[in-house]
Amino acid sequence: MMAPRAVWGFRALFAALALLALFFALLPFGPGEGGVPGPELTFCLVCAWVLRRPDYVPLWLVVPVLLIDDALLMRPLGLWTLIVLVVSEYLRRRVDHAEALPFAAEMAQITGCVAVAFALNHLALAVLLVEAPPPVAGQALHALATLVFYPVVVVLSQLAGVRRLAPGELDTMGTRA
Amino acid sequence: MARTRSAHEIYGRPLRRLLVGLLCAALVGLVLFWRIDNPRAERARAAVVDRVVPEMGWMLAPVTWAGRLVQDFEGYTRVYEQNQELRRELQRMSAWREAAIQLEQENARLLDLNKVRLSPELTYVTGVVLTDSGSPFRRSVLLNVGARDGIRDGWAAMDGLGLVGRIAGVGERSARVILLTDGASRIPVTIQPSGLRAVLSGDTTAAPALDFIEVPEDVAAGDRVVTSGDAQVFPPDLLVGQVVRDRNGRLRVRLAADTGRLEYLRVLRARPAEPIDTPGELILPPAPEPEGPPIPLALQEGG
Repeated sequence: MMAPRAVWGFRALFAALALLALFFALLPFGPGEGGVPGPELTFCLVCAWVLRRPDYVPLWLVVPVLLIDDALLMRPLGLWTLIVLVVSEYLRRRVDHAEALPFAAEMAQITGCVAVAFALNHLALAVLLVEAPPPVAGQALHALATLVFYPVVVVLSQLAGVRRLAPGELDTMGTRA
Repeated sequence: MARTRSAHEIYGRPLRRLLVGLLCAALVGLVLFWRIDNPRAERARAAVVDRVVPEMGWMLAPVTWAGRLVQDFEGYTRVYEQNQELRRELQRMSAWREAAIQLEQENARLLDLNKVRLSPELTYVTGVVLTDSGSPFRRSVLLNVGARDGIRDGWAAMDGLGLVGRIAGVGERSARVILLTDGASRIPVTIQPSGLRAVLSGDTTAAPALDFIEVPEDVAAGDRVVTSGDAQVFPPDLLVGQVVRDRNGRLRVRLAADTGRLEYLRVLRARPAEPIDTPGELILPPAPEPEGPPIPLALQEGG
């Protein structure tokens, strides 16, 4: 069994990476006018880690981090958090069945998740009658950028030591013998 | 171990499912709260931003500085030409400076002669830009001045040259400026020299569009756009920018302010002019004593 100390280390690493992404999003380098909107890195991070080590990204850690993102990035409070929470729970359920998922299959799964998440977000904004909803083309580009950056996040996470458990290993919750 | 395992299987899963459900419900509630009682939710958000962002200031400043350095790096390749250019410009400017100083002195003398009280709208508070909106679809910046410095919602923010945006959301130590380029920004403007009124509506592109122009034929590219002061959103005659025509023939405004690189913003203290909503009252002579016999004492006491 893995020592709990290491798990706490990875949880802290997750929080630090998410806050780092937020920090760089907030830097006043002028909005990229006319350029391609950047990726939704926190979303990539949550998906990649949930698929590899669900015990590194417990709910009580993901939700506050996302809520802070929502508050500081001027998004509707709680909406994106809710969507990411639903996506991460869906992936968490799937993770037991996806023992040795090839990366292409994982990518297909994530593509579906990103599409659903952005569609839900747009739909919710339309239903809530938020004034001046973001342009659809821009949102699509944003989703695409998120997808493009997903493999990068996965590779960096693997390098940082977030890997799938080998068969026979136990995670901290004692599941998956 | 096996016992706890099975207990976990039996109780853990449904409990977890229940918790997730409750959490989702709470988040739905939060979204609805944000939508229904938006001002209160935005105040709560401003409070959070106010707590978090100024604490990050020590970290933001050096990274921002380094980033700007990298942005400037491309300029180094033609530093010599730039230097020459700046020198020529400086020469021209020093002539203007002389003229400006003379005019300023003359102006001061004339104002003194007239005993003019300058409008309080001319004072301002200067703040440093802390952060961007961070989201690709919003255009706003956060300043390091807030309610502590007397900032109020709705005041105009300018860089050295032109209008940048409007204060929307004030915390104790920070204030958010919605830029003119934000999708939610609508500003009444006047186009000079035609004097036509229009609404400047941002659409997250660099050049916001001009809407509701009565006679678009009278507007030419290059016309100056200033705030109109309608609806008391802003003080009148703040420079906004110049009219340009985009590829689709739509009229847009190239902002005088450099919204790509905002460092310092001045927030104009705007005090709305007191409206005069009653007619002048007639000045009458004091009412004369009532005529006729004096009122009986008994009646006076009874009344």
